[in-house]
Amino acid sequence: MSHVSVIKTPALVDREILSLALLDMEQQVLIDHLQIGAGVSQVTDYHQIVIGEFAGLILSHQYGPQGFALEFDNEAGSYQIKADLYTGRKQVVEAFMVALGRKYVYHATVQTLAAQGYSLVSEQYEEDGTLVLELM
Amino acid sequence: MKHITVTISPNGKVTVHVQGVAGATCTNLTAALESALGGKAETHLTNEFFSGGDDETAGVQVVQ
Repeated sequence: MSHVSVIKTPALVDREILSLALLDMEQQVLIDHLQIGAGVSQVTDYHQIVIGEFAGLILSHQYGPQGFALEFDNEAGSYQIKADLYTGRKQVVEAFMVALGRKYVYHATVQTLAAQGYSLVSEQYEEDGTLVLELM
Repeated sequence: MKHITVTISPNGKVTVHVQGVAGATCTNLTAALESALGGKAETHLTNEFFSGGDDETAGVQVVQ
């Protein structure tokens, strides 16, 4: 028995999973528990991401060699990245989002399947960078 | 034996192969992954879907 399902345009829908994915990006993440609509995110030193709730925003700061800010705005139930994509940043941000998406999918998939009773038994990278997870 | 293989390609494409899981349960897995990844799955049944038997296989492809 077999079927194939295709999910188009997966979204970053879970704040906690998004935070885990950001942590995997070899960044330090600090989560501020600021009340929505009150407060500002903390900006700390280079290569440190600060996440804070502010009017529905998740803010991440200081990514990459240039240390520019990336913001994730929660719109219609999913987080959309907002970044200043002037010359030289577009490729960096796109690469970041691909890598972040992979991390997000990893955590979302493993957590979802764990809730269904499956445990991760192995994970390995293939030569082309493909990540293969085995769950039983 | 229930067994799931998840493949995440460098460009973010995800394929999930489920083996040894009954059809309804497999559908539930698809729904759960849809919810977790915030997308709507398009399900394509193959000839093997209709063949029955215990050796059940399903795949979920997630395209980013």
